[in-house]
Amino acid sequence: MGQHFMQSVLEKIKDAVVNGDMENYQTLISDALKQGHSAQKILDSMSYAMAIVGEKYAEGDYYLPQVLVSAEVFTKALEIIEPDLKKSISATSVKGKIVIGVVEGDIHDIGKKLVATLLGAAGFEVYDLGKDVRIEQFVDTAIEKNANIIGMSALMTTTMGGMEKVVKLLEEKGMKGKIKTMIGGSPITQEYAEKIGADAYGESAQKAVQVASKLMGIGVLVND
Amino acid sequence: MIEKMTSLERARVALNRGVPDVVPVFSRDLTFPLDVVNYTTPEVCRGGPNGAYNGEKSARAVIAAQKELGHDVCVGSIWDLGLSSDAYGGITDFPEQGIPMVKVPAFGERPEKIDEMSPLDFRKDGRYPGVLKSYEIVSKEIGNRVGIAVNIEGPVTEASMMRGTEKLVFDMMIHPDIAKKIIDLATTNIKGFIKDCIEGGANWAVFLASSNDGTEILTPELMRKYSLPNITTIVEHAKKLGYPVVFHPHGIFTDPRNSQLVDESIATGIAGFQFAEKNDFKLAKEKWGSRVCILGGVDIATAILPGPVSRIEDEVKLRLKECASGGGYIVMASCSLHRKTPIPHVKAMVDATHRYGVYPLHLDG
Ligand code: B12
Ligand SMILES: [Zn+2]
Repeated sequence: MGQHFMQSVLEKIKDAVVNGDMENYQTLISDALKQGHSAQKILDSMSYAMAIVGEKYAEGDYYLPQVLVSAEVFTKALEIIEPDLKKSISATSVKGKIVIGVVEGDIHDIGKKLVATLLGAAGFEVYDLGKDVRIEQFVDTAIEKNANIIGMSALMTTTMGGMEKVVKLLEEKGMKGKIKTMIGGSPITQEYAEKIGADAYGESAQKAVQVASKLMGIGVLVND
Repeated sequence: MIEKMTSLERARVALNRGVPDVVPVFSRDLTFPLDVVNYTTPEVCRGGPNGAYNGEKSARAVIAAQKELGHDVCVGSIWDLGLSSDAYGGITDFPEQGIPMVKVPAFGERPEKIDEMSPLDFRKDGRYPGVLKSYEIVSKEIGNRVGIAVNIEGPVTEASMMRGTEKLVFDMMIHPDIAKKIIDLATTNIKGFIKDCIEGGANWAVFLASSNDGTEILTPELMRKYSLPNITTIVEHAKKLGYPVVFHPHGIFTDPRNSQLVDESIATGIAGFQFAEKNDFKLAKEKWGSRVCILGGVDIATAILPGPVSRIEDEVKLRLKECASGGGYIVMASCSLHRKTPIPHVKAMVDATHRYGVYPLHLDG
């Protein structure tokens, strides 16, 4: 009780995201805005919360449904503050643009969703192409959106070959290096990334944020 | 010296936790046989008139794979995950040389449609009649000596195919009434399918393919609430028909945070538990081997797919050491086998088991 009393609204928002509290996040966000907290400050708390969630999942303290619900609270809460955010954020404060998807022939999209959410939470602009994504679609969208990074997920050894094709196509188009590639999924390894010439590998959604930040030449945001 | 048994006999004895002549192999080869006979995926999965499933070709593939590899138990048909969703109006894609994938799950957008739906009639609905036909042919041709398993998804996994995995997980967390309806319908269908397959000649056991029924996808609480009670129902149903059940949920169940769930699974009355990847088989045998048959053990991603043959042999030998003494062990890959899995590698798993798994075992040194 006492502790609750002391807790600031931003801390409560952080907890709501960590605990996947679908009931209270709306009230908490509007309270925070009423109290004069900027949308950016609220987003920082929420992003910090998603980083905690990612870590708990990586440690095995959280199971998948808990992560999915936290991600849902994050996404819904983000929709509320988005109009305010857009007013205050200049294009330069976006960390980078990422086009992400699951490679052709593969429908395992849960891991990719977590990666996309955590990247969004960490300040990247994310274009999620979904699952079973064609080689050309990765490259075309990345060029069209002026993306910095293409993120690819594969859960099957029979589909991971698609990643190499994307790297090759980037090369053919003279875009390799300008658009970086980052890959992940349970059969993927650092070794494989090196073999196909991908720029980076991340073993979890939490690592994906670190790796993407590194590709952009920035440190990882840790506030609190 | 134990008298030589047929494949079917040794698989039955092992599942019953007895000591057979040699450790049996169940290569749960769902689309893998298509490569053995060089059929395209759509040629079988919707190669009959009006996009029906081609039961004859499926059976040809299953039988040819068994002859070539010599595993003790097979599945009675080529199997894909779109069958139930399709029967309720969903859409599945069939890549020429790839694995079928559900494009639009039947109840993905409108779960309320489920209220209008009745359980499936497998002799009439969707692509199922072809599947049952395949069971019949396989049973007639090799069922006197080879084990034929009913392969069907577990309750949450089957419901995921009709609803979409992520949506179903949300339903469980936020709209439990919707989740319950879909999972109940799935359970009813699973029971119906088991009955029809057994009538079609499945002769060994029911295998519940349950990637979404375990802690890889669910919390322990959700597994307890939505999967295990339905496993109990299915086990009772199969027992009445005279067949044992093998449960294969994904998750790391030898992790102390999850291991209680194996005890609870055993309490449903299952005969076998197939552990997926990253489990500690030595521990599994010690902890549960006296109460349930242990299945699984040869990792797909790190051994069967990349090889080489010597690595697969080493893994088989290690698993035999950990799990085979006293019987009650069946070698399987860590999950199902599909197209583009090197045939010699699967054969290596079967051969190594039959070579080194002869009882009495001589595995030391
Ligand atoms: C759940 C599951 C399913 C669900 C998928 C639901 C969905 N919408 O995603 C269903 C039941 C539908 C399914 C279907 C199939 N599956 Co499946 N499935 C799994 C299972 C058990 C878990 C996958 C999962 O979601 N894990 C949880 C998530 C959160 O983890 P993750 O995806 O690994 O993601 C994390 C990291 O890898 C990383 N990451 C992921 N992507 C990226 C990307 C980047 C850029 C970065 C940096 C990081 C990163 O971050 C994530 C979070 O930390 C795996 C087993 C396994 N151990 O992976 C098998 C598995 C992937 N499936 C397999 C198979 C064979 C199939 C089927 C063919 C089965 C069939 N009978 O038809 C079909 C596939 C059809 C198709 N064409 O795609 C095999 C693949 C084998 C192979 N050849 O490699 C596996 C490995 C099981 C096995 N042991 O054999 N499956
Ligand atoms: Zn499996």
